[in-house]
Order: sequence, then C-alpha cells, then structure tokens
Amino acid sequence: MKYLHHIIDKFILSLIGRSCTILSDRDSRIKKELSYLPENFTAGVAVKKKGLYIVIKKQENKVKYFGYHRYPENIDLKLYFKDEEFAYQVLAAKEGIRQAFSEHKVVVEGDLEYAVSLIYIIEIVEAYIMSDQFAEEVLASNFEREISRLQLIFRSLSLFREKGEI
Amino acid sequence: METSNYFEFFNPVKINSGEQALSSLNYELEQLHVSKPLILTNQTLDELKILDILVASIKDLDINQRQIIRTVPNQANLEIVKKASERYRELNCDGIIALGGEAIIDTAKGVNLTISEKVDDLKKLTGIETAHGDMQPFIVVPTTGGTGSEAALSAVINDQSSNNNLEFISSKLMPDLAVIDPRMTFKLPPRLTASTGVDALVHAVEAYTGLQKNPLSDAYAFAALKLIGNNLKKLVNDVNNKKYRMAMNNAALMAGIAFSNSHAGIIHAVGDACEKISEVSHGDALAVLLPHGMFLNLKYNYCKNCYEDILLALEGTEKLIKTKEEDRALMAVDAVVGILSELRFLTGIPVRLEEIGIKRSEFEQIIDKAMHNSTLLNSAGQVKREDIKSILEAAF
Repeated sequence: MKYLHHIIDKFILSLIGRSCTILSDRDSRIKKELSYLPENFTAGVAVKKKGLYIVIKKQENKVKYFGYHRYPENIDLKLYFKDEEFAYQVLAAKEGIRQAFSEHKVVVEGDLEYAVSLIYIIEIVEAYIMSDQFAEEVLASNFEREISRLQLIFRSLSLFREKGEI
Repeated sequence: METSNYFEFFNPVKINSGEQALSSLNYELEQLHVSKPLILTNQTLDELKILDILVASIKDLDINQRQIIRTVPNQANLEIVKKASERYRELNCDGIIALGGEAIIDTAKGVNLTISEKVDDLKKLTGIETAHGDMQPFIVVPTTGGTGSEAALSAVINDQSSNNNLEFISSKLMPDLAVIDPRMTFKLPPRLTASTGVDALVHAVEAYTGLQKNPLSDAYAFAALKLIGNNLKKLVNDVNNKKYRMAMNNAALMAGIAFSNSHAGIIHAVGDACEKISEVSHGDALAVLLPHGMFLNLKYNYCKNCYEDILLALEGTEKLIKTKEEDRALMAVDAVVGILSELRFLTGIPVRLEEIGIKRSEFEQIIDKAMHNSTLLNSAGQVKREDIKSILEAAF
C-alpha cells in the first residue's frame, strides 16, 4: 500500500507543478496570488524532507516548471511534509493542504508569507484537478473553473519541463 | 466544518511562578549547568531597577557588566541579534536570560538559534521547524504579562535591510524555564496593563476556536479565560495588587501555551497587518478587532459551541444557566464587549480603528498582508478577503 501511495504522491505532485504552469497563464486567482511573490521566486515542494522536490519558478507573473530535483539548494522556499503519509492525505484529496498546515504536518524553509501564497496556489490547483466536492470543501465556496479539468490535465501532461539551471 | 482529528501539542517549559519566584533562579541555573549567562534587556528595565532585582537574585554568579546587553530595541532585529550573538561567543557564555517583553524574548530566541545552529545569517533559518541542533540553556523572565512569548514556539525578527519581518516557528525556540515573578511586572501602568490583558484575551479566544484546537490547548485556554474574566478589570483598577497581577501573569502564560499549539486566527492576522501597515500598537489593534472577529466567527457552528464555553469561563455558571442556549454564543461576544467597554472607561483603550489612526485607504494593503499571515490558515472557515474587509469596515 505504501508503494502505491508513493506512486500516487509522485504523480499528483508532478501534475500540480505542471498545472501551476498552465493555470498561471489562464486563472485570474492564481495570477493575483502570483503577483504577491517576487520576480524569479523559486519554490520546491516534496512529500518528505529527503525526497524529490518539484521545483517551480515565477517569471513575468507566470510559473515555470523545472521537474523533480533532489533536495535543491539555493531556492527561496522549500515546503515538505513531515511524513509521506501526511502528503498522501493531501495529494489524494482526503484533506486540504490548509488543514494539514494547521495540524503542523507541513514544514517550511523560507518566508512564511510566501509559503501562504504557495499554499493558496496549491489549493486552487487541487480544486481544478480534484472532484467538485473536494474543491468546495477546501475552498468553502462554489469553485468555478476558468479552464476545464480535462483540458488542464491533458495540457499539463503534455508540458515539457524547463531544462537548465533553475 | 469539523475540527481536526489529529493534533500536536508541545510544552516542555518549566514554569516557576509566584511571589519570590526569582529566588529559584540560582538553583535552576545550576541545574541547567549555566555559570556565565548572557542577559538581554533594555534601558527602561534598567532604569526601573528591575534588572537590579534579577542580578541580585543570581549574585552567586558574579555577573560581569559585559554579560548584560541593555540596548534591545522595541522590535527584535537582525542587527541586535548579531551583536548579542557575537558577545555570547566572545565571552564564552553558556546560557541566555531574557528579561523583558516580546521584543527582548524574540531577540534572545534569535541569539539561541544563531549560536545553536552555528549560522552567521539567521535569515537562512526562516520558516517552520528549521532548527535541528541542541539549543543553549534559555531562561525567560517576562516583564509584560500578555504576550505569552515565554511559552511560545515562535519569534518575529525584523530584517532592517528589507524592512521584512522574518518569522521563525520551531519547538526548539521554547525556553527551558520561565520565571513569573510579580515584582517584574508591577510597574506596568493601567493603560498598558489593560492592553496586555486584551492581548492575552485574544490569544485565549483564538486558541479556543482555531482549526487546531484540541483538548490540551482547550484546557489551557479555558483556564486562562477564567482568570482573565475574574481578574483583568480588578487589576486595571488596582495595578499594584499582587494577587490580581499574578493571576493575569498566569493567564497570559496559559493563553500563550494554548495559542502556541492551536494557533491564533483571523483577529491576530488582521491585528498584525494593522500594526505592520499602519504602524499602530498591536494591543490597541487587537482590542478594537476582537469583538468584530468573534462576531464574524459566529457563522460557524463549531465556533458557536466554543463560545458557550467562553461565556462560562468569563461570566460563570449562573450566567450560562440563565442564558438561553441559542443566545449563549452571542452573549459570549457580549461578555467580551463588556470587558472592553469597562477597560475603555478605566483607561481609554480604543474601540474604533479610526481612533488609532488607521485610514480606510489602507484597507487593501491590510487585507493583502493579513491574507498572507500564516495564522490565517488556522482560522475558522476558509477566510476570504471579503471576511477581512467586513471586520475592518465594522471596526472602523
């Protein structure tokens, strides 16, 4: 079961990273949240401290996706879970990331205000790719997709990750 | 909306509280193997001879004047942390004593992080649970009952180069010992006593209604609320009364333990944002925002249930029984308004944001700042910009 959770975590995390890129071009809520982050801001998200991090970067109010990196140095913000099972609860849409954060399950290395921004972005991305019921639960309101779920997933999976230095 | 079915609770701080509590310090320092502590405080506490009381209580240690840093400013910043850390290394100190309020305690936490993690740039440790080393022995002697910093696992340190407040949240920041001695807070005037009391009240109320509320933090928050309900007004009326002072010091400490574990919420987040954007006093902003934040949370059933307990703690059993079940939550807000009104009558604490100098034109900036305060993620419901705006409008 743990291995299955590991595979799901890895797939969903990658999907979230790629979806950030697509949505940063299309979704007004994500655009607004991105405007709070400084230019060239970099963030890594992982299921546990010594795991693989998806790395994203803000450039010209858009998100670039750099794929997986092992414990990347010199990035502005690292966000990871205390245990992979805690990550699974969030990535398998059993619990919102906000709830996980308030339960002390999330560790942050970097500026907390920017971490809050990243959490809002992940919430919106999850609301896009998960069920309507989950979207309503995590955002406590009727969630309107500005691009369809199917279109988002198809475009995300066909997205090439950025090459070269972060 | 339901509360969490998982919680973490951490409070390893030894607490020596009561008359002559400082007399235990020699023994405690020996237990912690501290023979050369660095003492952090400020000029005012030196002038008020409060520092003298501390030094007299540890006379066995033969404190060198260089071991005392009297220049901690009103806001902890990287510069003073660096200076104090250098002094700590230079003198080969083996422990830290913070004598003062939140800024001094946060500075001491910064020094402890710098020394224990062996870093030159504290900014590298910004975030949650970034410290992993063994910490230096750390003693806190609070002089302003209210902040609860002596039992909090967080520190806010200003980076003057960017005027950013760096937040550090870590269980490693907790002191080994907090000494709550009434002699150290006696000098607080009524206005400041009221303001710090309201700070403790906000901590207790928010700890009781946040997403991470749990049976342990509830116990601390409830006990704190009971002490505040029974003693705050009396203390403001009679600031030299030892019994009331100790009760409020203990209330602040317990509220600090509670909110440190279950977190603060929307009131704190908006209060912090007002402080940052409009440069108003933290206590004043909280005093104004508290009833409006509580009123907003009445829309959540679980908050309503919590408020019944708050009514019980603040007003007692008789009042609870006499109040219809459906009115109890609202009456809890009313009880808080009652406390604030009386404090306003006694000391002139503010009730409107406009009164403390906040302008309506600053609302958008305040909302932006509050929305990105990590405590907001722990507030009841999923707080939206409109929620914060409604609080600000109501409080204006």
